[in-house]
Amino acid sequence: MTSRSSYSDRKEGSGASYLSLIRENLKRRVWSAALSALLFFFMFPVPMLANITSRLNERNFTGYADAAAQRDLAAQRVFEDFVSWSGVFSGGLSFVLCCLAVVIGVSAFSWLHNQRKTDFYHSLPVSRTRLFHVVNINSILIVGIPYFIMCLAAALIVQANTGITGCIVAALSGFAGQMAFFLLAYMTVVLAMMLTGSVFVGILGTFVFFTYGPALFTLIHGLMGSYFRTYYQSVDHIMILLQRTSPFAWMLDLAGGVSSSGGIQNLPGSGLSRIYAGLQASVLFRIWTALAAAVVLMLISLFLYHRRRSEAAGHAMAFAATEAPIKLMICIPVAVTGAYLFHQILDEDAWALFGLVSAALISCLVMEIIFRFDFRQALSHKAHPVICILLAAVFFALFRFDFMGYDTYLPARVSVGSVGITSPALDEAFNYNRSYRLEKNSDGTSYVRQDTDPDPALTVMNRMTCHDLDNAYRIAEVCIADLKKSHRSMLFAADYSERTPGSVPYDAASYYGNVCICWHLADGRTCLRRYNTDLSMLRTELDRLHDDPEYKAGFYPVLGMKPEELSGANYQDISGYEHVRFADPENAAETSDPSGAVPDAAALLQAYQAEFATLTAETRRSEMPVAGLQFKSRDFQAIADWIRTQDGYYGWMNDVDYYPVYPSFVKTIGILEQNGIRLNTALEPEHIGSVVISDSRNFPGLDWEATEAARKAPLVISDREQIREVLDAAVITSLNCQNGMGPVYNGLNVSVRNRTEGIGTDSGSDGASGGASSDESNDEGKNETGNEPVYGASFPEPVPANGQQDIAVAEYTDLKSDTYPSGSSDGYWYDNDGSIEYYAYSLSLDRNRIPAFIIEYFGIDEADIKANSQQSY
Amino acid sequence: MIESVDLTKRFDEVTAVDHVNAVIAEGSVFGLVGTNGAGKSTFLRLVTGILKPDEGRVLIDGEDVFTVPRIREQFFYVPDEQYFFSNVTPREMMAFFAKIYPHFDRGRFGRLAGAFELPENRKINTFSKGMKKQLSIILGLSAGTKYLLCDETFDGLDPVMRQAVKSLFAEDMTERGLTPVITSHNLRELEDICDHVGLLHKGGILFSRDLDDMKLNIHKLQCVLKPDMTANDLAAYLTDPLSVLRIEQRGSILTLTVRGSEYELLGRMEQLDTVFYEVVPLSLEEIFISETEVTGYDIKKLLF
Repeated sequence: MTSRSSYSDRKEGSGASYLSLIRENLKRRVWSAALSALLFFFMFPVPMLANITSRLNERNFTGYADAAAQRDLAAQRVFEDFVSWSGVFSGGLSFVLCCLAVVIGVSAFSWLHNQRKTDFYHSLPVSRTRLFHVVNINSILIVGIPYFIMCLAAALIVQANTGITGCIVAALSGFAGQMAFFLLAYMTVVLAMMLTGSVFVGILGTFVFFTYGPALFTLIHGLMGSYFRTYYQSVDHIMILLQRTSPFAWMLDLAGGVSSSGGIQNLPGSGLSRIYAGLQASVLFRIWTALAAAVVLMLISLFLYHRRRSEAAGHAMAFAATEAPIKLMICIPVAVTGAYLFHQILDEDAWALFGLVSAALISCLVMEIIFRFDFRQALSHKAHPVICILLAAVFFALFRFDFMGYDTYLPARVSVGSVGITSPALDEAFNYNRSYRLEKNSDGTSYVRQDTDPDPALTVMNRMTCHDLDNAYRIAEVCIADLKKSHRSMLFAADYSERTPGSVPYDAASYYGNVCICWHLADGRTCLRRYNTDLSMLRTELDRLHDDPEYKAGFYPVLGMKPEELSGANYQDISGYEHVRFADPENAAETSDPSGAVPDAAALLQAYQAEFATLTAETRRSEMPVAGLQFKSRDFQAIADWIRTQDGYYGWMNDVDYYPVYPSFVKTIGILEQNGIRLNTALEPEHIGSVVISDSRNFPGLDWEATEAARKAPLVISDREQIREVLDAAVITSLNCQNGMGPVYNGLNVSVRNRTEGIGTDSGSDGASGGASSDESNDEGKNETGNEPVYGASFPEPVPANGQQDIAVAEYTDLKSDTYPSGSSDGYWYDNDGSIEYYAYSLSLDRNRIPAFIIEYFGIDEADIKANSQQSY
Repeated sequence: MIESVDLTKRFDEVTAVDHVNAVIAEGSVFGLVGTNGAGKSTFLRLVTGILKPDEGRVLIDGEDVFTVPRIREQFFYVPDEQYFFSNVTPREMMAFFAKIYPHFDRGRFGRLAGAFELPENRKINTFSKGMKKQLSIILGLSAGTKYLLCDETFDGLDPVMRQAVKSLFAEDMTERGLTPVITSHNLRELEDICDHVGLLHKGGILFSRDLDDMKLNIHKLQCVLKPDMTANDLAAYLTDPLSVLRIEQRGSILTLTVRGSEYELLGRMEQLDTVFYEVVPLSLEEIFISETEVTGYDIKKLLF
């Protein structure tokens, strides 16, 4: 028995083979094949040749490096441009393929929307399955063959001109990935064509499929953000899934995910390794997912094609049963959008209702007109607008009035594994976990790219695993109880606004702020809430949270740092940044401890970790940091060293990732001293020429002019004892690791004017350039490479006081601003003739230790201290 | 053999074909007549498997045409308005069908195209409506299928072409047993070609008969009776096995439509003393009028 005579083949029908049917179908679609070929010709060979012509032209080389090096760099850039453009993460290519999928998909099955053509094809002895596959195979060939050929040609052109191998691999990997996404988009279009009966409605259907998910996601996201008081502006998995229901968004999301981190150039490694990095597991997963989704869509489309009746051609929808559900699925979100927009603009529920009804009616009428192709039948199915209005009103009210209890929801205790909690009231320094990568500019110079976390608080909460659930529930319950008190006003008062610092009338007893809770559920999901409340109600709970080692371990990466990861440390005090020059036993004689038993960087780290981990909230309320410590990882140091060798700018590295050193950190301070570091020597009384205390108080209830009038004239102090008194009460507020809970009085500025001798530590160096790998003996301001450090010499030179007249306190001389020496932008103060007078440090006062003579002079009372002190819960 | 069993098709609230049972025997020309909207095209689209029946089924040589696509190799469908690919020539259309229909006769197509003076390499979209109709018939005849399903095929053909097509049908019926199925709203068009005629009205078949059977069993009797005899007397006389279907009197001339054999009728009339009588054949129209009146329809309102 031949296959032709077999039953299955007999059922399939037609003596025509797949090949001949494909050939015949292709003849009908020559125009789309030509369009595809033309498009890919101008997308691959032409721009690659243009890029090669531009980049490899020696006239465009700069004089910063030799021509050969620049040519190599340019060749590398050409290669990377090709990989960027042709790779799986190329957003531009994805967009073009998406558009092509629409054109090819619509044209491939447009005959289904014409009765004559449908009758013709369906009267032929060819099964629908075979017809469906033939058309789809041709669609893939029409796009795939020109794409493959042109991409390969471009790869060969790039390889021939740059000499870099790997272009073909890059082209093939990009081809595989992009074709998977093309298939997904194409099958979505086919599904839309199967569901509809006219080309116009088919295109509209495609638009709906491409945009519905992201649009609904945006709407829900907006509703939650606007109406849920505890909504944390982040997206969960369901929302991400909703966002990715569109193949278009799916493709661009992948491309965007790479481009948001800087594109292919910023993937680790170089050349081929970047390509493979691009095809990392997550990307491959996406590709396979896209292929699987495309297959599912194909099977659904095939099923629908078999169910589809020929007489559907010419109707709006091929299946009458889908009309009402599709209508409601579109009209309800449109109606909710109408309500939302009107409510956002006019802030009245009545207007929201107007927007809802208007949008529901208009959208239902438009949909009915589209379905019937007849304006006069716009009012058929009168029940639909009513149903739509009711369902949309319920949907909108769910968010508007929080009928779901989102804001008051607490996960069941048994379902919670751990919790992550953050509050800016405890610490705002969320960016301890920056990551850095080396990059090159087009002229060959280097720079470091910082990856900024768009939501560091969320990162911290996801990382944090506190098991003190009692405390977490207590925090949440207090917040929810407070929320319920204001719930009625939230619902019905148009002028309700969140209570955050600055948005509520001043009340020294209250401290409004937010606390974010991320419940890590046992099943792997997370539940996020952000509460705005009076944090003074949570003082005990927040203190307990602060003192929880698990909280600190989650918040501060330094506590998890291993000594072997450490390259070195920098410190910051009032004078600026400097390396901690750990004494090497071999040259211990040069250090303060000739015995050689000097604690090293690891010891400093461990001592700091021990003291920082036991730092209590109570201590933070009574102390302010006297210094900051930056623990440099080996990777961090390697980047600094590399930048320096490339003459790049690395001064910014002195500014980041400092941890506070409190006066009570005696072990840490002791190790620093053992390594020859005395903190804040510039503030020792013997180095101070004078102190100027200026009034910057705010007076609740007074306007700007009255406030200015109420402020006292600056007080200049030169008496040694009084200077000592002021310095004892002074706190440093200029470190890169502030204590937001500290006892800082902001009503007075203390300007300490430095005298000539004995200020600071070594000079001519910078924090970032030093490290374990560096030569510490750079007395002449040179690093281990012998180059002069270009940037970051942040220590000021000691400036001799030039006879500034001390002003006795008793004189209370009224120094107006025009009597100040001119110029102070760099901390140096200049005389009118331009010569340096002195160096000034700006300090604040500890609110608990303000000297009596200052209180007397400025007339400070308790209310004044409350009003001008750093607020804390 | 094409057989429709309880074939029903509805479009929304309209029942286009309503429980039609019909058998189209091989080797004959089946004519399907009916007014516009009677359901002829729908019936044919059901027979071709284009439309899926809501009830019943169509069997071609015992196979369900909708579920067994390969059975469609047995027929070629010539719709009222044939679809041709855009910008193609007759030769290209021929090439397409030649790949689809295994017994397509390219040589015959060339000969017929030449006979009909259809330029094979001219774009079809430049053809007149009649030329397109000719082309589709030629393609259908060249496909070598067992059945040729023609929807209003003779519309748009001039009388000469109509005769030529009829000749071709006759030739193919003789040579290879072609069974044409032709729909038309014009009974006269089918009179000289059909062997079997079905009358479709409001989606249902009023009747389906062999034309010869109908012609042999129904006669028109014209006579002038003697004064002592009335038309009712004659009608009462012409019974068993004869039956009078219709009586019409104009002056003294009485015209009766009588069902029964001509031999029996003539025998009876021989025995009757009349002034004059003769038996004349009925046209297809007259046969239909008579038959449908019996079933309670006024055929003049259905056709013509």
